[in-house]
Amino acid sequence: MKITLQSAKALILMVGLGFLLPACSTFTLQQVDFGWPVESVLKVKDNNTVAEGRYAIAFNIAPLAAREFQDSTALKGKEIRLLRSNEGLYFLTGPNFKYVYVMTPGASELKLWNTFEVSKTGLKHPVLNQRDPYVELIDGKEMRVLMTSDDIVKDADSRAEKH
Amino acid sequence: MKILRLAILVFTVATVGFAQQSDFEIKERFKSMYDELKRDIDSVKTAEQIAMIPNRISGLETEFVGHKDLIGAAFYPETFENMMTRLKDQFALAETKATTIQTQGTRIGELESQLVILNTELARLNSEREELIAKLRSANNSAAQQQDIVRRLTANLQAKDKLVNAMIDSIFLPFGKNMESLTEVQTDALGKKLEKTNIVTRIADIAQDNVKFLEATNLEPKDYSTLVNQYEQFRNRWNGLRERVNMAFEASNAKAAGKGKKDQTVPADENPVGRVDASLAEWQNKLNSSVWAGVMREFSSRSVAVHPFTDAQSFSASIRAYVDSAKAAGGDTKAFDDEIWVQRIEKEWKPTLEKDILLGKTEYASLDRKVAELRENKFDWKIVFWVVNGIVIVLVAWWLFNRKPKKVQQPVSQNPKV
Repeated sequence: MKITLQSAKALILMVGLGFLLPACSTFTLQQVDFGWPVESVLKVKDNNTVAEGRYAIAFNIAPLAAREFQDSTALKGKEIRLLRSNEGLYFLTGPNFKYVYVMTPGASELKLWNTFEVSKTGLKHPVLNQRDPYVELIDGKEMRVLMTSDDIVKDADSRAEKH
Repeated sequence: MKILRLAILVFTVATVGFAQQSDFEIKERFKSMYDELKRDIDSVKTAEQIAMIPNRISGLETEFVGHKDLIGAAFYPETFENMMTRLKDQFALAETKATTIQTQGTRIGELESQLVILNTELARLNSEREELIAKLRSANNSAAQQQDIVRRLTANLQAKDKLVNAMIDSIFLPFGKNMESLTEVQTDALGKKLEKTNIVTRIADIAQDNVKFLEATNLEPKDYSTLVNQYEQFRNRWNGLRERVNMAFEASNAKAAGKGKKDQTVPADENPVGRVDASLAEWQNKLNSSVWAGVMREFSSRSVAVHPFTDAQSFSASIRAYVDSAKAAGGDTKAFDDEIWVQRIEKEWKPTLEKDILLGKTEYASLDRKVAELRENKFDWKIVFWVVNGIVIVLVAWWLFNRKPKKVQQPVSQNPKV
């Protein structure tokens, strides 16, 4: 078999890339469980922030209040419920919320990943539970919903809809 | 695949439909019940309260054992088992503590009752003592009667001393020995109890009673030994008690004054502790003067002229001066040495004079050696007597063993020779 100069160059390039590419790939640990065993019920402070002591997370809730209630101060002094799923996304809702917000953490930010409309009139007594691999939303006896970051599963009485 | 997954989810939802509840609420309810139980365990006092706790612990355990993984995760690094074990251990400790408190409570109740009895008995003894002192002061008693009154009065004073001592124990026992560890409330309570029982005045009264007793009579030398013992025991007990009583009164006074300062000082004449100290000093002075007056009478009643003495120091000086002058003069010291020192001081007064508040053993021994110097220069005719007696005995013995037995004369034979 005759090896041309062009094919030799291509071979050298391929061998070189074969060594180089693995070295450039990101080192990753798999099967990480970020889940909180129990949701946190956080009271919104006067400066519109919430802070979770055990898991060391704090953020300003005003933009979310503005989005949910069209009033950035609507949540002052109220409680919100926050739960981190096993895959690491934050599920956030609260009384009178029509939506469950799924947020993904970034550098100094929580970015909206998904929104589930779970009530037309607003939740009354919502709670979030960790139900691996789902996050469960219960609102009294009327509603029980299982969610992933992308999907929502509703029970017979639920009117939850994916947005 | 997605349909299958949804089907599983719906099935799961349907099966647990009736058991919907918040994990957060489970956690919070467990925490609330757990903390309440912990508080109740800490505050149990009665047997009824104690009896209810084990049921509540097992109730909590039964109710939440199904959520033990959730609770363990929620309270990490705690685990459900550890929390329950700690609760049970805490209960065991509290049960022991409550039982101890109940026992002590019963004991305190007994001591309070005892205080009432002691008070009554003390009043009876006081009345008897007054009567005996009055009789003692009366001049119509025979020597035997006088002796009997003194004996009864001594017994009365000792009984009163024991009673007050028992009262002190009853008062202080519930508070323990270490006053520093008492809280302000406890110190105040002790102060009030001391005031209520009037215990410090009673202690001062014992000292005063003894002073009156000493003033009312002339005692036999050996009686003084008992009285000095009594005084020393009383003084030692008071020294052990003094600081505690003082602290309790100061705390009580500070609170009453509303200043809350423990270093508040009360004038000595108003301070009950100072009153006992003064009575005790008076008792010691009276005892001292009474003893030295008694010893002085031994010399004066036998017309032995020693320098008058009123205390240990002047007594020592007086005896030493007498011995020195008698040795120099070379006169007859029989009355001083034989009749007083040997027969009275050595035999009767020695146990009293050897007490530390009087001469002390060392000084007494030193004086005894000093007095013995009087005998060194005297020829003791007793030695001659015993030597002569010895010689006579030896001679008599010699004579008895060496005398020749009398010869018995043989009768002449009557039989004729054949």
